[in-house]
Amino acid sequence: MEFTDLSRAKVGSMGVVDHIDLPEDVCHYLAHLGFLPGTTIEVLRSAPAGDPRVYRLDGVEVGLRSDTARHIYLKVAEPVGAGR
Amino acid sequence: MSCHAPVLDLTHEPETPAQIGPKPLRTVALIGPPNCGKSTLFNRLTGLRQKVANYPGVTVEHHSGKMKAIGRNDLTLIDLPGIYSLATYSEDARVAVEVLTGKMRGVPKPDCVLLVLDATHMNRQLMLAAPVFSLGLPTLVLLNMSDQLDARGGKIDTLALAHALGHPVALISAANGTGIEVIPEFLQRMGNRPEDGSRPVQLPVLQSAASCRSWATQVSQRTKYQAPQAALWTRRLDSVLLHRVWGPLVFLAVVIGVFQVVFAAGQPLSDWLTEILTRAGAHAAVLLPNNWLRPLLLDGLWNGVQAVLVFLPQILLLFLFIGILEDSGYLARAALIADRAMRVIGLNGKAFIPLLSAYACAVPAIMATRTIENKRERFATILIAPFMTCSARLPIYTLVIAAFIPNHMYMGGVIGLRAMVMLSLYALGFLAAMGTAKLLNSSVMKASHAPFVLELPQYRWPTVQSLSLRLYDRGQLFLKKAGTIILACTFTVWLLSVIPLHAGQFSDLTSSAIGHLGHFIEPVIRPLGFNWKIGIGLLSSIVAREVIVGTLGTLYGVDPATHSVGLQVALRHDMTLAGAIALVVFFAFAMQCTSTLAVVRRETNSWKYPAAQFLYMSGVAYVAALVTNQVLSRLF
Repeated sequence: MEFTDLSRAKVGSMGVVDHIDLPEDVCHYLAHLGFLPGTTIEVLRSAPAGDPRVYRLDGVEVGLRSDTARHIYLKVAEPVGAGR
Repeated sequence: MSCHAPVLDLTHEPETPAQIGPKPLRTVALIGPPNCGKSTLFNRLTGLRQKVANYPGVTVEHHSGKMKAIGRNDLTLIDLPGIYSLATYSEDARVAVEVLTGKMRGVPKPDCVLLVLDATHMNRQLMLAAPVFSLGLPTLVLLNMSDQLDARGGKIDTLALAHALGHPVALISAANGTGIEVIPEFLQRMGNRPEDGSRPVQLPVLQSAASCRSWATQVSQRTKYQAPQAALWTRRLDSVLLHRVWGPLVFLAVVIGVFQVVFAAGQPLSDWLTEILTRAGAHAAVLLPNNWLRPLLLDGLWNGVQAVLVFLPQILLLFLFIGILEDSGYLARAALIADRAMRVIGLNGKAFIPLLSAYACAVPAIMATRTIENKRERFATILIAPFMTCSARLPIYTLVIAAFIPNHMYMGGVIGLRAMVMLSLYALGFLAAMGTAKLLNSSVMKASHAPFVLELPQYRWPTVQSLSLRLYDRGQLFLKKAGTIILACTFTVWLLSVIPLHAGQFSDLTSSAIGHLGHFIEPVIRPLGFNWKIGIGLLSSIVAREVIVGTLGTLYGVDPATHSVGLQVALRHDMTLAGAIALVVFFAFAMQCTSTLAVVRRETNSWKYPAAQFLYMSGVAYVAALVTNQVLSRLF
């Protein structure tokens, strides 16, 4: 088990949100999109320019810029193979 | 499968509370998170045509309509903006809360609520249920997108869910109409008995996101919710459409393709329409008596309106493509690809959605900025939105391009010069918006920390019904504008072009009131390469951009020298290429739209902003047109 921030998690990997280090209004907004401690997030792909990246949580795909993702800390659970 | 029959939980109803005097049901509120299919359901229930898009954040204000489509003309349905919670961080949520609690002026407090949730990801959608239930209004929970759920192997036990939520629950598909018969049933029962089937259940005490979340997760676990599989096709398509190399290439091809088709298919249709309308005018002329009535009807009313009407095909084609891109879900991907460029100029990611819709019209775009929480960023977005090329610019662009730009084709007929010029004009407006944003960002606005979060909906086939409704609405709007504002403006221009009367005879154009006015303002616009007729067109287009085409149609129609030739030919004889390009450049930048100014006044609650915006945009337009004309006239 290791900690990493969401922006550095590899494409294809999965992790569980540990904590989010952002101003309250931003946290609130993200929380209602599912970014809350305990949520499992999968890194799906990068936009063509490398940023934003697309994450999957709660069955929804969401694009997020790295400068936001950097403040979302994950417990990386398992690397996921391509055949998922 | 447990999720087929739409179940209204009649059997699991609690003991009926004592009847309180019958209060007639009048107002029903429709609420749900963004992109849950609420607008589609609204249209099904009311028969109205609300814009539906596979894109979050479409309903910005509340809309209401009678529930005619289910035979309940006596009931008003209020469609609220899509929101994730009732916490009032954004204007959207504030509107929703005010309506639901009866504090919104002019809107009666709803008697019951239809809560729409997307059945394909219940864990998150249920988070909104807790705050809505706690309002204490009778609520019917509608789990939408049952077709998607079934297709991708998800399961919901509606009975168990109804039990856990303490409110009736039904599985529906607003897109196909399956299951929606529970809604009239529910309303019928509500009318008969004022208290619905709700009964107290444990709701999260502290309504924070985290507590709503854990409540939602518990509920969906307890009711054995099975989330559907990821949409395979969406994944596959995205691996191409968001690919490092293919993604941007497809994006470019789509953009160029749209303009190419709008031109290649729109122009012949438009020419054909011109011919029909001209012939109709000629036939009418023969029937009319040869006195003052003939010029009044033909020159005063018909010429100007006809000149604008012929652009209907291009407008409809453009909206057809916007509709396909939006409904299919590609627009969200385009936003993702374009985000990098947006960030360079320091724009809030959330500004992207209003700015995209400004390509249709700046008015709804400015209202859509309500989703931006930060006031400064919201105002900055309002200030730059009118630079985006709205559809009202299309008629003058098309007219000038068709008149002055040769129809050269390149790359084996794939790319046309005309489409490229049109695309450049769109790019010019975009660059002006970006430049202004950068300017505002370094002076007025602090660096943004509002996050860019963009939901990527699954790809869906755009339905013929949704697309044709869009076109119908757009067409109707355009025709209505042509029949009212444009008609009134061009008629005024015509009237001014024949007075003062000399011994009962109409003035000729140069000695008419408008001729005098035109020659009076001519020195100001001469350096831009515009003659006095264009000057009058510019003045009249302050009302609305399309009016210039009507005005030019009227003025060149009245002028004996150009009376019998088409507007394109008349313009070609009366302007240089440099002046013509300067004219469209002027339109790319200028703020000529009273509706936009009015909505900016309303949204910013001050005349300061629309006034500054008008002066700034007109200034930029004047200088840009001046430079364009001076440089190009030396080159050609």
